[in-house]
Amino acid sequence: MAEIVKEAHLYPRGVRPRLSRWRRREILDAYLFISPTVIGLLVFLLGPIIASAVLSFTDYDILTAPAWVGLDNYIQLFQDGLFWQALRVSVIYSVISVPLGLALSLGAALLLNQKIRGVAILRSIYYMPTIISGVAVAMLWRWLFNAQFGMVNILLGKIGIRGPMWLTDERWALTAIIIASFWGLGGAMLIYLAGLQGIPSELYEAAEIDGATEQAKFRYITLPMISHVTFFNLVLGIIGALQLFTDAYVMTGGGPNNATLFLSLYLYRQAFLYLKMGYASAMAWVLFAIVLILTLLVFKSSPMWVYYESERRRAA
Amino acid sequence: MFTPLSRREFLKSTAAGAMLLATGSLASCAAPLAPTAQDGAPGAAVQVVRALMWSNGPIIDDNFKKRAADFNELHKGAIEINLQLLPWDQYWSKIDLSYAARDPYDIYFWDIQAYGHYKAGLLRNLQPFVDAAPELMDPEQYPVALYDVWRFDGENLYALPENFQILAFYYNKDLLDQAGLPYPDENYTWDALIEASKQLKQGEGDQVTQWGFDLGDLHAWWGAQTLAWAMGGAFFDRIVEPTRMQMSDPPNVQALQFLQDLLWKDNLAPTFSQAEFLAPGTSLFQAGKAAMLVAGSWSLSGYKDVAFNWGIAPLPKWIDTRVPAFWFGGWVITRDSKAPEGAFEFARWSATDYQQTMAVNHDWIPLRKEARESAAMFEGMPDGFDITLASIFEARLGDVYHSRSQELLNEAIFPNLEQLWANKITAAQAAAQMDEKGNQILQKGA
Repeated sequence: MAEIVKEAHLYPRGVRPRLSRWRRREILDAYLFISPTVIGLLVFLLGPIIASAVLSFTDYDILTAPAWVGLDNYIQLFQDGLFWQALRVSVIYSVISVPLGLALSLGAALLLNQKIRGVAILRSIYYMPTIISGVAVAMLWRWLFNAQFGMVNILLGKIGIRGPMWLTDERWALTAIIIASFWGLGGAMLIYLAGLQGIPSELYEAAEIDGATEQAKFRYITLPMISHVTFFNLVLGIIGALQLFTDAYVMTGGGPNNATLFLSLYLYRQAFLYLKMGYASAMAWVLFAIVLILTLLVFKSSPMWVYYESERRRAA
Repeated sequence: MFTPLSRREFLKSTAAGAMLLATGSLASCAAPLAPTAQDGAPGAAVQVVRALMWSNGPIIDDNFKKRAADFNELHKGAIEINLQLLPWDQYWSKIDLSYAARDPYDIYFWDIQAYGHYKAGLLRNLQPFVDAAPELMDPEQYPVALYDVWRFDGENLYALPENFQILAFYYNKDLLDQAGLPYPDENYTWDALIEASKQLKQGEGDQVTQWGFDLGDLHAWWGAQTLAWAMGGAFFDRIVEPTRMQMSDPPNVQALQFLQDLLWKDNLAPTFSQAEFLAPGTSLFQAGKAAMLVAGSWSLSGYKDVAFNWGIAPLPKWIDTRVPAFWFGGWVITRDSKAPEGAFEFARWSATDYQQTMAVNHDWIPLRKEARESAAMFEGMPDGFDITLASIFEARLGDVYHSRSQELLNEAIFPNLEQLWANKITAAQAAAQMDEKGNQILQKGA
């Protein structure tokens, strides 16, 4: 494909090159191969995105035709106490679970980057939880956090601590969901591990010659050299955290007393329980705007803390 | 001659292909799922009726399938009912989607969500059919005075009842005998219940090993409302299309506070965690750890195999008043049904000829007196079943019909009752919060 583009520049504007039969066949094959994805994108992603944007300005209950209401849904949204509660829950969850998750996955990656026997098996074991589907994991955590018979409280009881009513006490329910979120650390850990293995060993050797301590090596070599990985994991973490649905839906249903009412759960309730598709669409667009702004902020701040070796080379 | 395909052309043709695909999908969605069968005598069309009911477990589901098979056998060559059973959590989504796809079912089982369908003009007025079947309105056989709640426009029936459920009072005979206490009957009062609960409770604090009374379904808003009704209150100004939530009215607050006090002040009934602690995974009554319980008549079949003797009675009276809650089960027919006559025939047959089978099966309580009071209905039923059924004539509908009822329940009622039963707020605070949120929702209109 790149060759064709190159060849195209050899001809005057507006004049198409005559291509050989096999080249034309190759082009057709390429388009055929990508067409399922492109068609899927148009029908199942772009179409619903455009539809939800239009519906967000309507009152639509799927039973009757949508009625145009202008900005009413958006105005109502900002006056809706439960929307602010849901936003609060999502923000608290993101602020705690994302940095903590990054720290834990980096810690696990550092441990699994050691040259010890059986490390490959350990890496597989740590990664394995991420391949189990969301609902099954949430069900598992629901049982683990069962106040009377859950493993968590049984273990706490062994050390003399009376565990709380995790999922039915509004002071603890969100904490329980945050803890459950660490189940999927394996994905970020694997990316960190790849980043750690990409750090040139001569950097550490030079530092050792200079007499750097382990802490100094971690702070001045490891962290900067994997900052692009942290950036990647942070962006994905923020997006994932603000869209959390399954754990809350299965473990608490948004309760108790809306203590775990996440934005996406409230959106689901509005759309599929109350059939307020227009209102839910408006909420989806506001959620999208929040995610977009936060992602842009992270991107904007990245020159201050993300180190790219390639940029350094270019600058040099 | 073959010309190379530019990216722009490709994207154009892909978009066109996608449109065609989408149009094709939509067209296939709009196509009837069940074509009208041509069967029986040559030239005679069989009305195929697509019916939907939610799943209630293997026994009741099998009874429903058998009901459809019996109906089809009786109406061979004329009507064929295709009954589909779906889990509850998929039931209403399926119905809503069938409406959205403009291919609704012909008939489906009623619950409060269907009121939204009535409000959207999607349900058929059944009155002309009912008028043509006068046996359905025989006051000797049916509690027709209670049917008014299903005349949503004040005149016409939009759903045809076939069975009912009622809130009842269950008691463990063995535990009452051990304590030397009489069995509750139709004259039992809340005062007697409290005295009995004190005697029946064994242990204190975390060490309670037996409770006299479990609130059971009184935790639900419709359960708590029965006590408020008896005290002269009501949670809404009316059942159909309420305009005001009035939880803060004194009798309502009094009822909620009374129940909360039973849990937290008097300690005569277990909290959720106490109940879970003593009888994990089951109800205290079923485990033989609570002597008395308020629960719906739907629990009857679940208690058939318990290891103790038990009976049932109408709800206790508050001084001298009792107002139980009841619920109708029945069918609605869609406005755009292609087989409304066949669909109504199924509903009519279920409410008349099939009633005796319903009595034998014990899965639902038939509306027809002949069946409801038959020997088959009482066979294997606990003592007091007759007086409990008779209390339907004192009962009010335990529902609220509003197109925003789901929002009302989820946003205004459940979270506040949750806090009330957890002793986080007082009854007056819960009532005020429910009124504030509930009335906001009601004021948005239907």
